Order: sequence, then C-alpha cells, then structure tokens
Amino acid sequence: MKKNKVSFGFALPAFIIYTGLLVIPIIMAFYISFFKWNGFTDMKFIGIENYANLFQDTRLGNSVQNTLIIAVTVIVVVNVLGLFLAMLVNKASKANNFFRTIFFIPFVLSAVAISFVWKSILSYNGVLNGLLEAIGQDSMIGNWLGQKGTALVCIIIVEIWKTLGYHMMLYLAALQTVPAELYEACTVDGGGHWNKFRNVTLPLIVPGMSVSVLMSIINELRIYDVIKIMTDGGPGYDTETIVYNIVSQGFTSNIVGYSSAIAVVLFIAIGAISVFVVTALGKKEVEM
Amino acid sequence: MNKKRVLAVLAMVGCLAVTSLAGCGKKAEDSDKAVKEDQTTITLGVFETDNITSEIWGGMIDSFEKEHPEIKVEKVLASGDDRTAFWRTMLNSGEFPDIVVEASNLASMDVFAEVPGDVQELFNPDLLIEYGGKVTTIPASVQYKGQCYYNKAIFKELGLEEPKTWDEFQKVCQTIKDAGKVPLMCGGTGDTWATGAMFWVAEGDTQVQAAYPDFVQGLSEGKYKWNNDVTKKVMTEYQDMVKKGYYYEGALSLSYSQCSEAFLKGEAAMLIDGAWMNATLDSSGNEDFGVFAVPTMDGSKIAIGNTSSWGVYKDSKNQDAAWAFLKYIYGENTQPYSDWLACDGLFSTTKEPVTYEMGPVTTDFLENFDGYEVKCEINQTAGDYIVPSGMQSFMDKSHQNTFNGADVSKELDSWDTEYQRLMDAQ
Repeated sequence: MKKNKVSFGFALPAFIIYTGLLVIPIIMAFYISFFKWNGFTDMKFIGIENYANLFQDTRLGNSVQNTLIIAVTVIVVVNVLGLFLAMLVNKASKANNFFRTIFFIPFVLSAVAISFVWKSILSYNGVLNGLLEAIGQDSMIGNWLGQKGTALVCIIIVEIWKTLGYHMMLYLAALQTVPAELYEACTVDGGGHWNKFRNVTLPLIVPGMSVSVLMSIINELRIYDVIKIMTDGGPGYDTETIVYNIVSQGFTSNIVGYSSAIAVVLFIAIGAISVFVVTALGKKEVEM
Repeated sequence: MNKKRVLAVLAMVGCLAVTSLAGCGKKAEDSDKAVKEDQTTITLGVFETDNITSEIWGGMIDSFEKEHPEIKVEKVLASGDDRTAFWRTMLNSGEFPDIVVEASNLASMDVFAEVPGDVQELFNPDLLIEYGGKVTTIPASVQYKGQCYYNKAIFKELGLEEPKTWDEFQKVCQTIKDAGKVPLMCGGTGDTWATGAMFWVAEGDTQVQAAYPDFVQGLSEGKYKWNNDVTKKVMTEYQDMVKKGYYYEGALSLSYSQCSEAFLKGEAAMLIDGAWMNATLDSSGNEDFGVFAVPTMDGSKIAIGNTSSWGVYKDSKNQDAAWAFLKYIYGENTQPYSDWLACDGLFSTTKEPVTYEMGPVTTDFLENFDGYEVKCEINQTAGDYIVPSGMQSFMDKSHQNTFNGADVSKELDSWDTEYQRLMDAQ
C-alpha cells in the first residue's frame, strides 16, 4: 500500500501535466468542434456541421495533399537513409563518433533557427544561388521558395536534413541490440552481407524500426514550424499543411469551431495510423 | 576515468553556479524596479519592428513613470507575425494587457472599455470610431501606405522623371526593363503581404473606393462583390506587369526585409511600400531615394491612411491608471508620442497636432498626397461594417497566386467565396 502511494506520488506530476496540457485541451477541442465560435462571442451549437464542411473545403484538401506529399517522402527517406547511416557508423571508432555527432546536430538545433538559416540559403539572392553563380552555373539559379514545386521540395529537404540524425540514432540503438554471434553464425552458414542484413539485422531491429517509423509519421503529419517560417504556407497555398491550416483557420480567421474539427480529425487519423503501423510492424518482430 | 568524472561534476557545478548568479543578477535588477506598496501596476501590450524598437517603448514608459511614480508600467511584447492571433490568445488565457496598442482588429468584439470624455477630447473628433454606439478605442496614429520609392541614380541615368499618369508609370517600367534593369521589387516568402498588398492598396483600394464609396457596407449587404470590373482590371494589370517582367524575378523567394534591402542596394529601381520606409530612409540620412504617389489607372486621387487604435481592456482592474497613462502620452507630455510617430513615419491624431522633424523623404511623401482624399484601407475599415478577420491574409495569398499566373477571375471569385465563408463563420 505504501509502495503504491510512493509510485502514485512519482506519477502524479506527469499525470497533472499531461492532463492539463494534453488531455483537457483534446477534450475541449472535441467539444468546441460541435459549435460555431469565433473565440470571443457566445458559442452556438451546430452539431456535425463543421465536420460536414471538411469535405467541401478545397483549401483543406490542398493542405492534406501537401502534408501527404511531405510526410510520405520524408518518412521513406529518413527511415531508409537513417538505417543506412546507422549501419555505416555502427562500429565504435573516433571517426564514427564524429559522424554520429555531425548527423545528430541538426535535430538538437531549434527548428525556428534552422528554418531562418535555410530561408537565407534558399532565397533568390541567398547562398545557394550565389554559389551557383560563382561556379558559372547561372542557368541553374532558381526561385526556390517562390514556386510551388520547388518550394515544397525545399521544405522536404530541410525536414529530412533536420530529422535524419534522430532516426539514425534510433536505428543505431536498435543495431546495438543485435548479438554479434548471429552474424558469426550467418557467416559460418555462408551468408554474405545481404544475407546478414536480410536475415539477421532486419528482423531484429523491427522494434526500433517501429519506433522510428511511428515517430516520423507523427512528426511529419503535424509539420508546422518549418513551413511557417520558410514559406508561410506560400506561395499562395502551395506549401500549406494541415496544421498550418488549423492554426490559420483558428487564429487568423477566427473560426475556432471549424479549426477544432480539423484538429480532431487529424488527431484521430494520426491515432489510427499509429495503431496500424504498430500492429503491422509488431507482427514482424522476432523473439531472441 | 575519475578525473573525467570530477571534471564533469565541476562543469555541472559551474553551470549551476553561473545560472544561480544570473538569477541573483536578475533579482537585483528586478529589485531596482520592484513594485512599491502603494504603486499600481498596469500592463502595456505592444509590438516591435525594425523601426519601433524597445527603446521607443522604454522611453515612453520611463517618461510616464517619472511623472507618475504611483504607477508602474510593464511591457507585454507580442511575438510572431500574426499579432491579432497573439492578443486573442492572451485574451483567451486571461492575460490580456490593460492597454493594447493594436486594438482595431479586436474592437468589434466588445473587448475594450468605453473611452472617458476627457480622453476623447484629446483627439480629432473625426477620427473617433463608434462600435455599437460607443467609442471604445482611441485613434493613436495615422499611417499612410502605397507610395512608390525609387532609386534616384537609376532614374537619372535613364533620364526618367516621376510619373504622373498610369501610362507614364508603365513607360517608366518599360524603359527601366529595356535598359536591362529591374523596374519593381517586392517580397513574398514568409511575408505574404509583401507580394501584392502594397500594389493593391495603391491601385485596388483607391479605385474601388473611388468607384464605390460605400464599398465595405455594400459588400456586407450583398450589394457589391469583390469580383467587379474595377478589381478585375487592377489585378489583370498587376499580372500583366509581372508577365512583362517588371518585377524582380525571384521576388517570391525574398522576405520583406530581404526585398527592402535588395531595393536599397539598387537591385531594382522602385518599391511600392508604406510610410515606414520614410522613417528608414530619413533616419539613416539616405538621400539616394525619392518617392512619388503611384498614379492610378482611373486617375482617382485617394490616399490610403489607416488609423491605428489603442484600447483599454474592459475587464482591467486598473482602468484609472491606464487612462492616466493615455492622458499623459497624448496630452500632458507629447514628446514620447512624437518619438513614436517619428520612428515609424506615423502622423498624429490629436486635436493639437504633434509633429516631429521630418526628413526629405517624409516631407516629399506628405506633399505627394496634397489634394488627395484620405480613406482607410478596405480591410482595415473600423466601426460597424468591418471586413472579417482573415480576409487580408487570404487576399495576400491570392496576390501571390496572381503573381504566379493564376486565372484572375477565378481568384477574384475566391475572394467573394472566402468573404462569405468568413462572414458566416464569424
């Protein structure tokens, strides 16, 4: 009984913080989503009208499309490349420690700071175009952040650069759990590098892979800060994502009920995708 | 290993000590300005820009506190570029300042206290605005927008003069382009307003209000539409100018700071901008640039000048102290008010005009508007007929679409759709 009280005492601060900052706002957002409300005046109950409007909102459709393009590309690249880099720096050495640090640095930097830095690199009179001009490649100089296709690609590149080191670390941690004897056994059985990767590494790092894929899905579906600073969703609505749309509808346009409805749907979508990924990858896990 | 541990512990202790000392330092600094027992503390919600710096607000606050030691003023700084959203968040979280210097967008939502008669008397009565029959904000300043700044050296080199008609303006653009230079600069990325908002103010706002003087009211009553002959003509001309190559090629890859810096470096000959550029040029003694009123397509002479408003929070417990602060700034000692106006090229709204030493650009700017009718920007119209929050942001993005070649008529249709959606939803 006393032990339970101590345990409860330790869990209480986290419980209070999570409840206050996460659970209650989620419940409130769900409640508000059934109202017409501008954030100031009285709320008016309108049932599921906000949810019905989601399907006719072309601007939201565009945000969903942009978010999916960014998310799918970044999730695939950071997981494939993250695993590849982790395998490259897996063995302990001074050089590998150096590269691990270098790859991880972008993740620990403030997203706001790196967005400003990349904005100056990619702006028309920025570092990238300056370099291209300096090496005589004037024809390659581009309006990177000012056109739809290139602006979205820039966002994707920055997002990959920012998160790659984190996913490399997750895979590195998973790789460290693979027993060396299994590789030796594979060698004895005549297995080459591909066999070792396919039959030893891959099955044993599935738990780490689950975490990495899940984190990348959650992070990319709620991407906001890089977009806000680098392009402000522009040009036009060309780089606007779902979360940018939620913030814009709720705080710029004062349509709090509707933006809450979008947030609730996004919350449910992320939850459903997370459950699906965990379940699907869980089936691939092997016990040692 | 032990040595390393010892070093690590020492480093941690060092960090903690430095942090603690920093805390002591802060405490000491705070104690100097500690609230005295009989002092009332009021909060002043402000924003800062390259021109309106913390020194400007500090000077205003220090001056007031010196004369009114019984009141302490604490500054609350709005962060982010969407300041209306910031104040909204403060309001919803119960931390709304006693005074807010950006009250226009919140005034119609019954946030501010009615302005007492003795405070109202300080201002030009024509500028006092009623919301639901009550004056709840004070007109703090007038800011003009939409004149064209130009590089004197480029104009001189090409033998150009300030254009007086739309055709002359187009000829100036074409001559500059033919000379292999960039006629016009604008921005875009991260600052969506910097793409077309100033062109819209100079051409769209002016001509729409000339053609339909009751446009905002008519819009809310369904009498007018955004997609009308005037706006279609203005936005088509705008897109044509982009297509003709009059604008800087990579403009949408530049923030406002980058675009104004590029203009000042001579990368483009002209920049349509607001009066804050006067302050930038005059304060640095830069005489390489001139300014002219952008000639309108229909020849109308309307100057767009927006009145910024300050308001006292209706639920503030320190309203008397807040009104005392406003009376001091706008009546008792107007030097801090004058400094604030000067730093951002603003103009006074008080019954007794407050002036400051104007540089050559500001002087020219004002002379350019001689004989013009002053009107408020459509999206900034205050009072009972206001354009819903979010419309300006939508139009800024639409200007970018138009810049990038979108169908003008479809874009203007989307203005009407969005306007109706925002009206219904708010």
